[in-house]
Amino acid sequence: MERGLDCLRPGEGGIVTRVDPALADALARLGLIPGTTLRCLRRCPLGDPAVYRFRATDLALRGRDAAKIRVSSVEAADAPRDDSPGREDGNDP
Amino acid sequence: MIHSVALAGNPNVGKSTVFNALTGLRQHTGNWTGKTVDPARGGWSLEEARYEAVDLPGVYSLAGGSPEERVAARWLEANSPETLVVVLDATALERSLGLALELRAAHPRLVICLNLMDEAERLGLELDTEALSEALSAPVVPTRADRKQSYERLRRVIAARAATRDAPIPVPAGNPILEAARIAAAVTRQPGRPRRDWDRLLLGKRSAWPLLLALLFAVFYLTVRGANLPSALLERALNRLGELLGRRMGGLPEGMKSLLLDGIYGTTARVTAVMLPPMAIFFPLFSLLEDLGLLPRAALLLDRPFAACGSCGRQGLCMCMGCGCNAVGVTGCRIIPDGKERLAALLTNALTPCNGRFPTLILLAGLLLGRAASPVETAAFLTLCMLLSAAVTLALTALLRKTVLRGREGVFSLELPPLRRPRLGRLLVRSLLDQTLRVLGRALTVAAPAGALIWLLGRLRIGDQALLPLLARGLDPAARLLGLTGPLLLAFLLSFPANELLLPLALLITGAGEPAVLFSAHTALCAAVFTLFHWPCSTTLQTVWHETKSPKWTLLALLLPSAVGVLLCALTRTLLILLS
Repeated sequence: MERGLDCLRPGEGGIVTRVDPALADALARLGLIPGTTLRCLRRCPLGDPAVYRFRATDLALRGRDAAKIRVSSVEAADAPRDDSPGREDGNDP
Repeated sequence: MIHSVALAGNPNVGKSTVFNALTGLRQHTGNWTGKTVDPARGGWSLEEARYEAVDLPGVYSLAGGSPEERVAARWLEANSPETLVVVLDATALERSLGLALELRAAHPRLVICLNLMDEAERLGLELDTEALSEALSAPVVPTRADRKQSYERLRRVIAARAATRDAPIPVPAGNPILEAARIAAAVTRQPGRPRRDWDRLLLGKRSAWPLLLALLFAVFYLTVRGANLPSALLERALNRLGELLGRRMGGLPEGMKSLLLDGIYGTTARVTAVMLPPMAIFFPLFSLLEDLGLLPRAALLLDRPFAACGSCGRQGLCMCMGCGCNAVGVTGCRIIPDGKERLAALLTNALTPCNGRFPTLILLAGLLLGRAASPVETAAFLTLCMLLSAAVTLALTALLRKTVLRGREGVFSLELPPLRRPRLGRLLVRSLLDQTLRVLGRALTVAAPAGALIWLLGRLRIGDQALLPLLARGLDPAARLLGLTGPLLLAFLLSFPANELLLPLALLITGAGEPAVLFSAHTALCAAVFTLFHWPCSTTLQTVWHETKSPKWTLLALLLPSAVGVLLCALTRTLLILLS
């Protein structure tokens, strides 16, 4: 199932399938390219922006921009590998 | 023999710290993206050879179009340094490797500095540096801020690299991101434990805003509380020094003596006494928040309200910087990528009260209460001032973005660096010596000539009337409309060179002994509003000019806050009259 990154709930993971060309360059520099596994860590108290974690990076994106990134779901078992420091299961209570 | 060296690396990998350790410079570093925009220069000597180093801005890649990336890419192209040191974050290897791989393709003479090893150790992370060196075909030097020897080793490896004459063969990069993931996985012997998740608290639904407010209050409380006593002591000491100087100058003509003592020395001493103690506390506190990595969190929280006004959370960071000094805040607006959003932030920065205005606000807090205010009350008043200033900044930003700076909203992405343990010793030295003394020095170089000028103005007469009281009387009708008095408005106008001058000036114009007698309850409130919102000081305005190179925007930066101040003061006065 493919959907916008903004639809990810805190704690949910996804694999990036497509990035809108308007954002692609800026995000590729940070390592966010199609194929990247990421996870939504939390939303800000006012609901926006949300924080996503990939490749040991925590990046905040607004819903408006996140909607331009498509992700496919991952099974819980394939959720982001816990192979680097900084990755953990923190999300909104 | 002079060798050229350049340091490159992602933002937030401690590159500036490495650079400072190598060169012995004290470049300001901050735990957020985009702190260093201009390349810094320094150097060191090792065994008869001299090494001239440049610290390039932190970038993720050289291919992008951000200002930092252009600066870094252009510099590398133009200078092609003999040795390129790539600083990697050991705790986030996968993502810092991308840049190393990209650089390797064009600048093969690399030295890899594997930084933040102390943090990696704390997390239990183990890396195979030999495998990494092999994978990158470059020497790898692990460094850690708590061990000086590690930088010594880096110097030696740089020397060895510079001495080898054979040119290494460039390695064409495949997809650097995928390649980086492969190498990182291969050299990680033992993955580290996850960091403690402070963001659960710092960005939590119920805790985030109260924490942010408490932090703001705490900074003000500590500043006010800590500055009280030293301010009084300093004032007494400087007065004593003035008396001593007076006795020494016995031989000088009376007028000369008065110019030197009452004019130049008096103004400079008063500015120092009111300004130095709060600044010496505020700047280290601010650096502490910066070092911890709390500022990007604040920017993230603030993004929603700023987005509603057509700006972004980074503007909040610029306001924080402006709280120290508006000129710094204006320069800081460079961290906002979108041109129009940046201009809006730049034009409204003077609406954030800077350190130079704190003494006035602290005095007014007491006057408004009608008694000596406790530090808690004063800090609460300052917090309130900040909130008011933030609200006005937001409103004005929205107005600008709907009129002269209309445009599409830029993309907002903000990296949250891990919270880092600050190094207090270095932090104190840096904020006290670098920031405090620099800002104080600038204020004093303004205060001394301004003191002389004010003294002269005080002596000037037109016919049989003294000039300053005459001017003050002339301004009085206009000042009354703003709920101020003629002398106060004149003091505001004359303190254009530096906000710190306001109180000394008002005293001089009226000849009053202490500032409290200058205000009634009504004028105190209006003066507080006008202190928050009026024209930027000359240094800030000059910085706006420097940043925009546009007479139009510089003029607007002058007029906009002035108009806001006049409007709000007139409004406050009307309300006060209606209420009483």
